[in-house]
Amino acid sequence: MDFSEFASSVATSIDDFTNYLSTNFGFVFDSISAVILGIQQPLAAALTSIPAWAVIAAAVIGGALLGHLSLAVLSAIGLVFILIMNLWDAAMVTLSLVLTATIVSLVIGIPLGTLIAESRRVNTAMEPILDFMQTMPPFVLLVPAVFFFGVGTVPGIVATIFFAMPLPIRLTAHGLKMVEPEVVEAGEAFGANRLTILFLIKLPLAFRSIMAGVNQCIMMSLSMVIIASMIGAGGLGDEIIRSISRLQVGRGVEAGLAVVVLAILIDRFSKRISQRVDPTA
Amino acid sequence: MIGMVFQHFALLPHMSVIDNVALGLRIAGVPRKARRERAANALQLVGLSGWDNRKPSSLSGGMRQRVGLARALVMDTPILLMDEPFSALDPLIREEMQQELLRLQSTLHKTIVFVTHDPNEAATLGDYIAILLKGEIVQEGHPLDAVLSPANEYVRNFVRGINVFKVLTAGQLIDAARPAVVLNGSTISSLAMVRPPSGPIAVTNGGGKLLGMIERPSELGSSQAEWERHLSQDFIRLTSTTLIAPFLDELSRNSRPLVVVEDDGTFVGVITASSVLKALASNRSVVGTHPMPEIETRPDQVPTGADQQRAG
Repeated sequence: MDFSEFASSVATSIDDFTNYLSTNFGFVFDSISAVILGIQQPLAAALTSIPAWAVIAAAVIGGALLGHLSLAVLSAIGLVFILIMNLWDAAMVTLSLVLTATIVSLVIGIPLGTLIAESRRVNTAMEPILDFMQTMPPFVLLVPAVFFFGVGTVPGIVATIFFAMPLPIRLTAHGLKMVEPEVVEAGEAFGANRLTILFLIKLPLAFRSIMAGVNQCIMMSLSMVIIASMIGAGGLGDEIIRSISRLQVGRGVEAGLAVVVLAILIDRFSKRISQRVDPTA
Repeated sequence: MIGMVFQHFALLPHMSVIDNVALGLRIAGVPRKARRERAANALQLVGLSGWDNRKPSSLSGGMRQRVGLARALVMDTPILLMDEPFSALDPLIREEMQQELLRLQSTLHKTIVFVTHDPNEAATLGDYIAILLKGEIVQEGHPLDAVLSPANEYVRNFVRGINVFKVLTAGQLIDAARPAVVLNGSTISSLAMVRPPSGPIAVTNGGGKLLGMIERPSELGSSQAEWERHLSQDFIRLTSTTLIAPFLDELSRNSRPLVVVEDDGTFVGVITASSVLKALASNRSVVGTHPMPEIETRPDQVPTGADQQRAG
């Protein structure tokens, strides 16, 4: 039996559906675009217009203030490397993409994770969707992003958000579910309602898990914005794509190292900051 | 609303000690200043003043449960529910906390429902205990009842581990062979004269109030004035509900007599080594209260040995 016709009809009907969405709900995608650009463009403008030495100084002082000399040294070496490799502006654009994707992911992800932890029904509904999002190969995410948002920064960030959001959702829900029932009972014994228990007891106790989600969200955003350069997201990924097409191995490795430097610095800084503000410490 | 104390303390690690204590007040919407004040008072009550701004993680287990206790007390609810509050503590701290709770209760007078798996803890703390088996109460009453007359095999096994001195009170150990001499005439003509006991004897007035002890009644004559002169106040005064355990040492050294007196001064009886031994030898003999035979000093009512045996 030949299923090729059936297979093409599945693809056709998905195409029809997306066509329908883009023609009838264009305003939705337009407003999503507006929101994302509204965050990313000022961020990128700010990061690229601040002189490099100021950013490096801020990172070094910040690292030292967080109590780790090694972090200050690492910041200095890493960022100076990016600067002298002439990758500074690209790195700052990448940073703005990562931050935008992270902010949107967390603004949606943490409340959604909270809902999942609080409601069995939402949990059952979201579980397969999260599985789907997490197992979908990142390249495939680029296709609908391009279709709905064209080529450029916005689809890159949208694809990144889809890729990076499941972990903060899962880790927020996990942290909230792991709160000792006895502590919740203590709140109930004093007559606290669900919302009070959530904000006074559960969320602070889930802090570490939520922050682990935040950290993972940033790291996954960084890896995804590089891939999203294929659809014109910009930043360091552009350098890498260009060096692939021109077979410039050296330039590609330089850009790759710059990504590694960004990743390490963002990871260390976010971890130290979350340790610093951890209410349960 | 009830005050509740939990087995694993259930303190919030992200709040300071004082904020933990004030948690219930915060939920109830008490303004910050008032709740701080009340929480500080509660902390003082459990002996933790000065620890206000520490985090629970820097406290020992016993101290954490004191915070848990303060958090329940601060709400000033008439009923406190304690779900195995001391089970997670090591034995020495547990006993210290039990004493602490008894001390608090002596001033607070709350209704405390205390769940425990430790029969000794139940015996130490409980005024009234209920033993549950599979969700049903199999026996309830004074801890002593469970020890001395267990309702069934389960209770018998359960209370086997109870240290009997944790439940034996002075009122249950009165020596029936040591009645008091009543001074209400001018001469002493009583048992004390007929068969003077070797040890000290209690002397009461006509109203049954204790006047004092006579150390060696056999050496005295029958003149009431002479008895009054020799009245000694050198004895240990107990009430019926006093636990006997701390006074056993006194009893063994035979230094001062143990006299049981009600709060209003009414004489109840004298405790001797032999009465304690008797109670231990036959648990059943300490069940219930012993009516004390009063010895009148009127000649026609001089009790005989047979009377005393009946009373015993």
